[in-house]
Parts: sequence; C-alpha cells; structure tokens
Amino acid sequence: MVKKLYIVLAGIIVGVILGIYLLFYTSLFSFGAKNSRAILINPLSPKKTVIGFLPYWLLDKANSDYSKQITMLAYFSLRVDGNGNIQKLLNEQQSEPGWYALQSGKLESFFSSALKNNLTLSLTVASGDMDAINALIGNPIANAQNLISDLKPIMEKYQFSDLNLDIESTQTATPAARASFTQFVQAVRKELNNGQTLTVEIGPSDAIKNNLIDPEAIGKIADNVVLMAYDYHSTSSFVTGPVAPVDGAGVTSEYDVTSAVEKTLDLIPAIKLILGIPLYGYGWESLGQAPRSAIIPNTGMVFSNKTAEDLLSSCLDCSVHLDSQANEKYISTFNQDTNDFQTIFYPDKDSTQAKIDLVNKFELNGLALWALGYEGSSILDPLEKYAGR
Amino acid sequence: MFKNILLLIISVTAGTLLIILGFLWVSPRSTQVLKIILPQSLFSLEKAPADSLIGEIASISGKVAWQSRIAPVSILINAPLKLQQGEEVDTYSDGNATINFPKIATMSASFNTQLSFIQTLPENFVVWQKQGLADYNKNGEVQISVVALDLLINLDLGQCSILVDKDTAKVTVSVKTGLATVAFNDSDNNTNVVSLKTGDQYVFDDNTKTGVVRSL
Repeated sequence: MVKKLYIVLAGIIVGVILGIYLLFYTSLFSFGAKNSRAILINPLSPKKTVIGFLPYWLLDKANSDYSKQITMLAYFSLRVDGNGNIQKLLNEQQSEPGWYALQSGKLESFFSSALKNNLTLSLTVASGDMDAINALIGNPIANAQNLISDLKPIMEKYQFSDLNLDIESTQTATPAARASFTQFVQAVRKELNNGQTLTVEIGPSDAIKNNLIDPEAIGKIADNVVLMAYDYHSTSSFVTGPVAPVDGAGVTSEYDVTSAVEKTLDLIPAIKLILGIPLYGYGWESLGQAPRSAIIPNTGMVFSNKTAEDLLSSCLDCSVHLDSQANEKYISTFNQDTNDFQTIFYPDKDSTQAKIDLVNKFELNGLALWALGYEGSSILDPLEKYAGR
Repeated sequence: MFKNILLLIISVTAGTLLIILGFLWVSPRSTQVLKIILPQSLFSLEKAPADSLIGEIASISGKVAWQSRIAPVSILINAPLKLQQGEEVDTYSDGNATINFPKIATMSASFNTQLSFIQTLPENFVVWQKQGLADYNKNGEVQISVVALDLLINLDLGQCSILVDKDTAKVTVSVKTGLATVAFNDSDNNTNVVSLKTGDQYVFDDNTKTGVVRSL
C-alpha cells in the first residue's frame, strides 16, 4: 500500500514537472513563446477603445457627435518638422492646414461635444516626410523635448489628454535608425504629464520587416499602439483588390489583416494593440472584371464608404460582389464609352463587424477609424454595440 | 508489476493535466490561450501564395540575375531555377533568358531587360516589364497583362514583343500573331483603350501619354 502511494506521489511529481515543461518550454501552449508577457500583464478585460480620427480636411463632412461609436476623438493633425517643432507655416504666405484648422475655431463644436460625452481627446502629431523624419531621429532626445515644449500649451488649452504619434516610414532602416526612433518615442513619453497617454501608429509591415519602427520596443513605451491595417491595395498597386482583407494571405493574397495582427501580437501585448480600420476604399480602371486584374496605370482613386453608397444608390448598372476571403465588397461596372471596367473595393458595416470579430478573437484593446467623415449611413453601426455606449 | 506501471502512467498523466489545466484556469483570458485553438495564418515572406503558379527560368545565356522574394538585390545565376510570384529576372548586356510558366506563357527576355513577376495567379498573370525587350508567347487561356511604364498591355491571344526604352520613355508593342489590347490614362485623365491585331505595332510615348498604331 505504501509502495503504491509512493508510486502515485512520484507519478504526480513527474507529471507536474512534465506539465511545467510543456507549458513554459515548448510552443505547445505559447506560454513559453516570445510574447508570453502579454498574458502576464493582462489581468483586465480589453478596454474596448475606439479611436475616431478626425482629419482637418473632413471637418465639413464629419458629424459633431460620435459619442455612440467612439471613445476617443483624435484630431489629425499637427505636422512635426525635423527639429521637433510644430510646423505652423508651409511658406511665408500659407499656414500649415492642420495648425490653421486647430486655431480657426472650426473644431470647437467637435471638442465640446466630445468632452461633454466623456470622450478622450487626442492630438495627432504626424510626419511622412523622410527628410524631416531622418532629421528628427538625428537628435532624438533634444527634438523630443522641442516637440513636447511646443505641444504642452496646446494640449493644455484644448484639453488633449492623449498624444498620438503618426510618424510614417515603410522604408527599411538600419538598427541605429530604429534605435534612434525608439529613443525619440521614449523621450516623448518621458516628457508627458502624469495622466497623459501616448499612442503610436505602426504599419502592417513593421512586424515583418526591419522598418524604422521597432514594434517590440515601441510596445514597451506606448500606452496604445494603432496597427494601421489598411492599404493592402491602393492607388499605387498593380492589381485591383481589397483595401483591408481579413483573410487570404498565403492562398491568394500576399498579406492580410489577420496575419498582420498575429505577427504584431508576437511583439506587442494584445492589451495595447488597437486595430486601425479604413472607412474608405479604392477604385481603379482595368481591362478585366475579376478582382486582382491589372490596373490601367494612374487610374486609382479613393472612394469613401459614403461615396460608394451614393454610387450604388444612383447607378443602375453597378453590381455588388463579395470577396469572401477578404470579407470586403466590390462594385464592378463596364464603361461602354472607354471599353474598360471600373472596380471599387470598399468597406461597409459587414467589414466593420468582421473587424470587431477579429478584435474580439484576439482580445485586442479596440479599434481606430480612419477617418471620421468618410462614413456613409451604416458602416459605424456595429460599433455602437461594441463600444456599449 | 503491470499494475504498478499502469498506476505510474495514470499518476503522471494526472499530474500533467493538473498543472496544465490549473494554469489555464488561473491565467487571464488572452490571445496566448487562443493560439492553441486557432489556426495560424498561412502568410509567408519567402513563399508565394499557394494559388499562385510556379514557373521556371528555363534557359539562360550570358549574364542573367534573379532576385528572390526576400532578397534586397538580385544575384547572378548560371543554371535554370524555379520562379515564383514576387521575383524578378534581369538580363545584362550579354544576357538572354527564357522563362516558362506552363499553360500560361513562354517569355524570352533579350539583353538589358528587367521582368518583375508581380502576380502569377491563374486568373490574372501580371508582369511588370521595367525595361528592355521581351517576347511573350501565350500558350494557355489565362489573361496575361504586362505593365510597361504607364501603359497596360493585355495579350489576348498569340505572340507579341514589347520593347521598353526608359531613355526615350517609349513603349513599342508588336503583335506578331493574335490579338492584344493596350490601355493608358492620358494627360486629360481620359482612359484610352486600343485593340491590336496581327501585324499591328503600337508606339506609346510615356511623356506625352499618347500612342499611334502602325503596321509591322
């Protein structure tokens, strides 16, 4: 009897050791994988953040109240120059449009409505100018201090409690350049006041290529990271196709939103990751009707969800198709005058729901909408239930 | 003896399950647990999508380079090799290459020619001819599209040659047999589509965004 007890005890001890090995030293349960930190620091349910970007050029089209669909209103944007200063003039005669719109009072109704409805206000600081970005990371600490010095009074005046850094570069970068960018973000984070948060934008390819942004390093610094999971096909593409395909990578497509989320989650905890979704698509002219037909060069253009809706309501010859892998719809029309096809891929409320499902599946922090003012009648509807406001 | 071994196996299994289920129970819900349930994406940088077609650089002479999907630059090759979507073939001043995609097309790249295989899906086969001279011999039903500067050429049937001269910004499409269609967006933003037949030659000026049809 005692012998059997010893055998059982020994067996359980060996089993426990085996269990620990399987949990932490194999990839079977992912606890031992690179991103195991996500599980350890994520004792809370996802926050269900919904960021709505409000660009200065869409102020006339956007509504003043999105409080049922979003939790954070992010003004887009002020432009940062190579010294870390906010650019106020394009030249001696012309104001920088983002700065001008902020100063003009045009945003007052948006901001007051947001604050009244307990939305967080965020200020986006952006640059896509590689010369400016290279200068910015040339002296990262001093330039970060310059930036915060310029921003502090603005953030205080307009009650922005989140700073959103949208420094966009998809070029391959050296380890030194990546480290400098990380230093810049670190210094910006350090200079923010208590209670102010930092959100940083990254692209889908940042997790699979050595671009300027090092997602793993940025994920440790920023409070939120927005994965701009769109422009998989754009005006510069060779073939027509979905702007933000949910699936299809490795089968028909090179890359998709699900793959980008998976790759990014290997580097950034789910609790910090926000999925950026488009409220727009693209249209192109081609000689073939099928998706992924070659595009006639220089015919690509942006189609907002609203424009696509308007087109559908007025066009008798337009037929709507579904790219089922991408979970995105497209309109196809034949132009008898030019003898070619126009194909428009665009997101709608089903696309929004598919992205919400993806966010729920991976327990991400939420969604970000690019951009308010592009929406038609129903694309934002699924967010009312998601945000639960 | 057998009973003791059985007892040991049961105990080890019980211990293993105890620790694993215990950890899963007390751990917060997270993507990590989901990862053992959900299939991973099939995305790969190295491998082209499964539906895309694989071809080969069937023969080469002189200096010919090949750029893989993940390499930042092309490398010289001295033997035939497989070719997949996202790869590029470059011939040097003394180089020639024949590229074959079964049931799609055979392409002969003359000297100083760059062909980038943008998409090799069976529904739509798209090549970006960056420069040089290439002959396209269509041998299947799949539509073949070639982008050359700002001109789109669809080879509908037969055989044609395409010459891209970057210095003069001109593209010359010669339809040896069969049918082809060319399309471009002109400087007034109007789309122009021109049908070509056997014996037609189309010369496109990329600077002025105009083109003319001649006889071969």
